[in-house]
Amino acid sequence: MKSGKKKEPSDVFEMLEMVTFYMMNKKYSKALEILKEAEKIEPGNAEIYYQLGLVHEATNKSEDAIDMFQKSLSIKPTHKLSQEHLNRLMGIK
Amino acid sequence: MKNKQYLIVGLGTFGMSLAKVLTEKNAQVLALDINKEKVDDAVSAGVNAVVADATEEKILRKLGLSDFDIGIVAIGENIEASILSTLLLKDSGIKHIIVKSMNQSHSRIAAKVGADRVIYPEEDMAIKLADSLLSPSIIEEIELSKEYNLVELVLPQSFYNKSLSESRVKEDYNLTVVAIKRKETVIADDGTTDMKEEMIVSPDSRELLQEGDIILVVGRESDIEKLRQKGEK
Repeated sequence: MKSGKKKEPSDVFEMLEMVTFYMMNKKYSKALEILKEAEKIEPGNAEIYYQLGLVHEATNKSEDAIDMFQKSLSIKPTHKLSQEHLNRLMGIK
Repeated sequence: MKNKQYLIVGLGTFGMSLAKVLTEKNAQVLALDINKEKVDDAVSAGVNAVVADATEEKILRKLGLSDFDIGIVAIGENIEASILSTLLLKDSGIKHIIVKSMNQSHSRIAAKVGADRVIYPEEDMAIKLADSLLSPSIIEEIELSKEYNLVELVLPQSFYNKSLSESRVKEDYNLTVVAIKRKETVIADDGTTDMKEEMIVSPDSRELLQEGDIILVVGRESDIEKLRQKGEK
């Protein structure tokens, strides 16, 4: 990831990979920090909100997770995993 | 062991779900309803169901209900029909009758005419919802006895990265951790990030507790409450 200069949408992919790495190591606050930065760079990227949803779900913040999965779906209605997680959290069968 | 046979009277939301779940689990089920559409829906879901009025003694006699082990009266709105059908099911020789109650008077009458158990699904759900709204750190609570409960609790922050023995849940709270539910981030074959949940049953005392864990503890309600309060501080 380019450092020391302003990040661009092309950096977001790499940022999301970092998020996955942090989540796998249960560093959820670090993952959240990067995701919030990524959101500022590319607010129309559904994957960012999906991963925000995952971080909130992992830390048992269901209401925040639901908000994020819904936001991901509002940008990309075909985001299958967002829909699956949303349904599970909302108790929709 | 002989498989039990279940008779379900009434295919409203509750009766229909019960009939479907029992059928899916390979139980022997017969469901009755006076509404043909509901019966058709049940049949299309694989449930053995027939159109019949369970308040008609002659019809019930024709169905030969004495072989059934458990009768569930799940009539939704008509108390009179529910009571009459409870009485007829009992008279027909069904050993155990469960009645879905609409209110307290209904429960008392149902008990007098032969119900062995009365259930309040809506009230029970409302209590669970109220508990979850008031205590968000409690995910699920099951009453094991009047004194002891099994509770799913979000791990308090002060236990993050401590082993189970270091957490002193047993010593300080008199609670036993019987399992840990843990979410793990995984990468699928197509490169997408997802999460799976694993269950660590009867965890070792050296097991490291982690942020996001949900612990299943058994203990007295008052002790569980102390731990819950610690988590919400």
